[in-house]
Amino acid sequence: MNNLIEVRGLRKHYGDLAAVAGIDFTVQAGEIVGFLGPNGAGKTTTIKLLTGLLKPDGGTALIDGHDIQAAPLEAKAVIGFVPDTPNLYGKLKALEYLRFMGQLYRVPRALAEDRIKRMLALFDLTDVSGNYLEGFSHGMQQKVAIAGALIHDPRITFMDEPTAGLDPRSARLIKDLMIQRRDSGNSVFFSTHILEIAENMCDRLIIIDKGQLIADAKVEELRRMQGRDDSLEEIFLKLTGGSDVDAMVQELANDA
Amino acid sequence: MMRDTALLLRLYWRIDRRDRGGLPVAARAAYYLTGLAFAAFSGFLGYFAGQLVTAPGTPFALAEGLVPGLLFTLLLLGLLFTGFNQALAALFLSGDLERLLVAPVDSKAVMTAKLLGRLPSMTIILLALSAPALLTYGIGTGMGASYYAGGTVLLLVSPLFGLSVGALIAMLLVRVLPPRRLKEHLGAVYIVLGMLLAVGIQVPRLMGDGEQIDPQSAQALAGVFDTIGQLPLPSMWAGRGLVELGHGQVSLALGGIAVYLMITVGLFAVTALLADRLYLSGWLRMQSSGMARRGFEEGAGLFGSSSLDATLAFKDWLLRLRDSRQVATLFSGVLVAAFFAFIVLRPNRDDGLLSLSQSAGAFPGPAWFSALVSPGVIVSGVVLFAGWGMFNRAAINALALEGRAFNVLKAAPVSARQVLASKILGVVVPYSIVVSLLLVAGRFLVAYSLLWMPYAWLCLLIMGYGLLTVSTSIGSIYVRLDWEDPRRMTTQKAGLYNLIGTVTYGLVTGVIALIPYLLAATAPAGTLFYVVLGLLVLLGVTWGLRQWLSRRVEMVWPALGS
Repeated sequence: MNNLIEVRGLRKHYGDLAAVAGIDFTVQAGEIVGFLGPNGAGKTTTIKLLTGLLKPDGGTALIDGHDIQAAPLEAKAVIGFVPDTPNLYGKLKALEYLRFMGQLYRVPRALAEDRIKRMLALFDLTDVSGNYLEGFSHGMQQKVAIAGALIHDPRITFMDEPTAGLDPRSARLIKDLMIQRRDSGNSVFFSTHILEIAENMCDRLIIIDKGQLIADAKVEELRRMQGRDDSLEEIFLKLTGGSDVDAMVQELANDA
Repeated sequence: MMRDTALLLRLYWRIDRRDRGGLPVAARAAYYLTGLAFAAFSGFLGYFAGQLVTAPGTPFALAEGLVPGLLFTLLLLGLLFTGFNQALAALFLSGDLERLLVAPVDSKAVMTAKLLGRLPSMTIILLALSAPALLTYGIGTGMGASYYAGGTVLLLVSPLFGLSVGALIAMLLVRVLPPRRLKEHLGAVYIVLGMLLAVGIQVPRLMGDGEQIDPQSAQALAGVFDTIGQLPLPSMWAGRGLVELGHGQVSLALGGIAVYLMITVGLFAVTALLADRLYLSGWLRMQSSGMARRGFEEGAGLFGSSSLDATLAFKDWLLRLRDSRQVATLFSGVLVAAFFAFIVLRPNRDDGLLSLSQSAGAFPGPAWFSALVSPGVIVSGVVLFAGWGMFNRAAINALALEGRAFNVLKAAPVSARQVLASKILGVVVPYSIVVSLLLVAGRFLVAYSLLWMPYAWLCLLIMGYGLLTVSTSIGSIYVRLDWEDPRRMTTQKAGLYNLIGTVTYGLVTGVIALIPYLLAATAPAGTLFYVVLGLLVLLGVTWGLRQWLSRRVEMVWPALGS
């Protein structure tokens, strides 16, 4: 199989805190991989390490065969990245931003224009494409960020909470886009807290907690490993030590 | 309501204190020292004004009440800006107002606490700037004890005026402009006012002849001040009342002071009472206005260019020209450059540097000395400084312009070196155009050797490139990507190192550029050789510096934005 992402012993510390404590995994071409974990588990740090936004303290990450640290430009050229917060240039118009992204990723002008028009139509942004991004709502900015990340047809798309703040239509659109990217032989690696999306969309799930990988399997395999026919939510809570949530809520209700 | 107000005020004042206390020790020390310097200057001005007003036989005869009146008026203007900014931040940009308004808390308590949230900071600044002047003016004019008591009350009440009127203006303006845009414009006004003040302070010193002001002019000036003093402003009445209080004329004093106090406290009370209604109606207007929809625009401009450098530079200029604060920063650079050029050239003045240089040939001395202070050298120096002054800030802030969108660039397949190159290109191209035009214009203004003009032009281009490379690189190394205030787009170290770097580079390359010219003055036969050699050395030094600085930026790049 063709590994588009190959992670070996990746580590990142913030002071004494091990945000990512030596993780290993691979993502193959034509896969959608969901990256799950509780808040502060190290998901965003891992994605930032894989996209070259952060420098690791140890380990390697190969992106389509290129080491993100040793050959960052080659690796980044095949990556599309959607961060958890769409920090865009507020003083650019949506259209200008997308054209800028096309240039940044060296997409030929005619091809970029064609893709921009299709993306704008797809995300229902055509009639505001001449507006400044600072006037956009969070959801609209998120859609522009996703369009910008896909403008160069990346081999691997990293998305950090891509559906956060999106309306149901746009969230569905993202899901369809992910499937379309997988079907065309590319991969999608995304983090989410919405387990229903993870369960329905992902070919494989990677679960991280306190910087360590605690599961890397298909949903069915996870169920088999847990030995019961639990929902993904139950499995997730057991793996991440959150299974006492019900008891805590009951205790709170009793106090009230 | 009182309980809710007290609870919220305790919270806001704690936040205010932590904001002030959160600085590193060195920054805090610098902050306090600056405050002390301002206080000392304020005290000096107050005492000087007191002496001026009471000096026997002074041609500059002013009413005693005018100075405190002017002080209160300036103070209120300053407080108005601060209050406007505070109201905008607290009411429309804080994010916690909706949460508070849906809580079981009296909305008037929320508004009162919001308006008074920064009162401690404002009072401290106010006391540091105004109290010394008021105090020393009292000493200088021999006021009684009641002057100081009355002055303290008036000063302590003053912030209420700024907070209330500023809040009212903010609440009215958000109906027309979005709060963030308003905040940008306010930032731009601060930048321009700061620069005008800095330049304005220098004007009398630099433009004056060093002679004493004549009695007629002094009387005319005093007349202007008297007219200002007669304006129906409560602050002027308060000033006069305070002086009357200082002279024991209590019954006369009470009128002016009482009106001032009533207006100030009354305005605050009205604002606090109306604030929730005004806020909500302003908020509704903001929501209902929506945004005009602008559809697809054909033509990609420079975003369709094949050069990534041009694309990045074009994007930067769009960001600059669409942000009034960045435009104000650019304008400030132009203002400083123009002011400097005017001071050096000083047409029709005998003591201007240019006039001195033009008469240098008249003095006995070696040929190289005459060459050193020749008009061509002076004009070239002025053009270099003017061009650099115009684009220096843009260069330092070039990477910071990315702001929180920096990760868009960092995640893209573009190297730190290329980003730096595009940032430098973005300022060097307009710099080159400006200095070329200025050099040609300078030739029309001042006659100097046309033969040396190409050499001067090449030197200016290379040196400007070097200077702007230093500024861009240092601004990139010490960048702040989470800036809100455009005056703080880089850390304080950037300003210091940029000063050291540009002065050092400017001096070294200035000497290198001058040597061929000076050698040619003493041994003209080798002129071409000197010129070529000079340009090669200049290029070599600049190229070496560029390589070293690029490497430094590459080293810090992985840590940026994380």
